[in-house]
Amino acid sequence: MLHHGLSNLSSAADRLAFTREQERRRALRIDLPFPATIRYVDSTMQRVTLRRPIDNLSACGLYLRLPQPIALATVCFVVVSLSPAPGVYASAPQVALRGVVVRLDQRGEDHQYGIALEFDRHRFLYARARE
Amino acid sequence: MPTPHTTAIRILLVDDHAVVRAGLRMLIESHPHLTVVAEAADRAEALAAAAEARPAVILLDLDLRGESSLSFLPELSAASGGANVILLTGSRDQDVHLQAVRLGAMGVVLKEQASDVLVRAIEKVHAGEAWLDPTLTARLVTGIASGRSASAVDPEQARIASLTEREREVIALICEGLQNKAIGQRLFISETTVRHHLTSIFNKLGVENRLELVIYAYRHELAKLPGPSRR
Repeated sequence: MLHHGLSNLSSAADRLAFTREQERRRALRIDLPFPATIRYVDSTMQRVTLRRPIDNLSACGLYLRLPQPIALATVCFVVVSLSPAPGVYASAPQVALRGVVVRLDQRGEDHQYGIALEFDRHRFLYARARE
Repeated sequence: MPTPHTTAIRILLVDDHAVVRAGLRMLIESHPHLTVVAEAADRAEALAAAAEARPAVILLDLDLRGESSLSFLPELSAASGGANVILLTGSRDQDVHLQAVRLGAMGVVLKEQASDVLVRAIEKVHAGEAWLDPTLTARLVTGIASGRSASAVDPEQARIASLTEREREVIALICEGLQNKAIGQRLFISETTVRHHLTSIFNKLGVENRLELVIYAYRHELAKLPGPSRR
């Protein structure tokens, strides 16, 4: 270990403005195509179940694309498998979410509908519960 | 024991092992120009002692009862009124050393080094100079040269650096989809201990629930996403 005269350099490093306020978190989001199963009741009172990868997931919501629209304020139940590999559904951690459609995007480029869901509750599904 | 100089360098010892603190005190106070003004074993004691004793130099152990002292290093320095901190560690992990410097440490001394190295480090750091390994210095300079000034340290990296090894293990197991009980069985600890670890993890990372933790962990590569090989 050698000594180095780096007082200026270190003085820049050593007094960080490191307040709790500055550390407040923005909504964490992960952009991965986790496979998901979406269930909801449509406007004709038909139960709909779809399996689609999501576009992204945060602690308070998710975004995915569907071939059909879902009305705003529709309650959806979603099970997300936290694995980006399409074939890995059963072995990956799964989280069950209940959310409400808060945004509907009509997408011209792929003729799909972008659905933004905001969660009001979630729970992890553990191995025993899945058996 | 020699009588301390009137202008002796005032030192605060922060280490969770009483025997280590006693040894350091003996070593330090065998030099008349150095004096130990306070000792502390954990975060709370350290902050209180720093505020009360107003040391000029703080010798800070990296691992305090399972908590990384990096998590409160800036707070400790501020509480002391601007003491210069030397990280005392057995870890050779340069990322940890670099993080310590970015958080305000003026020096890093390995526990395996000779005792006179520590004394020289205290003297130099007290004089306002840094005491760093040359390779660490090079990394620091490179970081600054590339525009990543030390003052612009990523707070997420500081949070992550504050996690203990055990906490990282708990995070990885949560991301595998294990419940607290199963985590406890895997790590040979009680479920209550797992919950304590989780509380600490939530506080350190600023997350509020398990889902947020999993997203955080994947995002910051604290855990690997399960792939096809798990099938």
